[in-house]
Amino acid sequence: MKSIDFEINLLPIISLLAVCISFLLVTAVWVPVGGVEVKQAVGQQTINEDSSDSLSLWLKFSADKKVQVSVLDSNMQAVVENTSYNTTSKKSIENLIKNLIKSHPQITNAIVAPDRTTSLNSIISIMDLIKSNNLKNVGIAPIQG
Amino acid sequence: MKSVLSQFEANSPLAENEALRPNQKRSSVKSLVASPVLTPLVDVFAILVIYLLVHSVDPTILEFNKHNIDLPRAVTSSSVEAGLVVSILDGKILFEDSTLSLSDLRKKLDSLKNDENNNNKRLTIVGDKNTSFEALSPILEICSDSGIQEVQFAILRKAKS
Repeated sequence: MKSIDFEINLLPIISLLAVCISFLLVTAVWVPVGGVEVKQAVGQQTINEDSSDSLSLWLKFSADKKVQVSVLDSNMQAVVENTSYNTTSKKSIENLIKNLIKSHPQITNAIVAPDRTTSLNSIISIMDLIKSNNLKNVGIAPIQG
Repeated sequence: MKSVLSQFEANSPLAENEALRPNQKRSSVKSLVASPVLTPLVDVFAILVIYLLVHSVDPTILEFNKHNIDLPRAVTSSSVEAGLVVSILDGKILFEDSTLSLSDLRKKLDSLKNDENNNNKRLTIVGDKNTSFEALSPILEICSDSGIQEVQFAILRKAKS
């Protein structure tokens, strides 16, 4: 009678897995390229499609490398007036965004309005600050005119 | 048929030494031969393989930055997926390896408007970190007009400080 108690030979399995790991390690691409999604503030694909109760966080860049932070309602009326910061003082901007989101839970989206001269790096930094505060709906306002 | 490990066990000097005390009951004596438990090893290897398979990046991702553009860095990012890629290199707009003017880009994207291919509804903008918004804004407008639903900027992921 054939014994029921049999052993699976694990060595081939280990060899196979080791080969798999080696192959994956050798062929893996370690380039940390990611993407930051943006929505349009104007145009066909708009960000302001939420209910009229929702508020928008606006971050407007100026030519003198300053960011004006304000909260606007759906009628573009200021709920929180402009607070101006230097683009380099990221910690202050982050704290302000955090406090605004905390005090105004109706804020559902953020719109970044860069100036002509604003660099992509500054835009991404600000978008990064907003997204890290769990506000995923971030749009960019194109240059008007 | 004996397994390979059993054969090793049988031929090992330690196993031979066990015979020095033949009167002792075998079941009460701990074997001197240490047979490695291979099951956890297999588990670890399997987890490693799964991790590498899940986290391995599609090699086509290299196509996003084949011009070695100095990308901006961000902590919060999503993964870049296949789709249309517009690169901005020294103020020039590159689309599918050819330099295009804004009007040509608009025509190209408009021609893809009614394409059923979902990949054409996603566009990645690959721009140098010092690119001014003046160069980016028209591209965003064209994307919006052409009905491209997902626009993203390519970035380099950085660790949270």
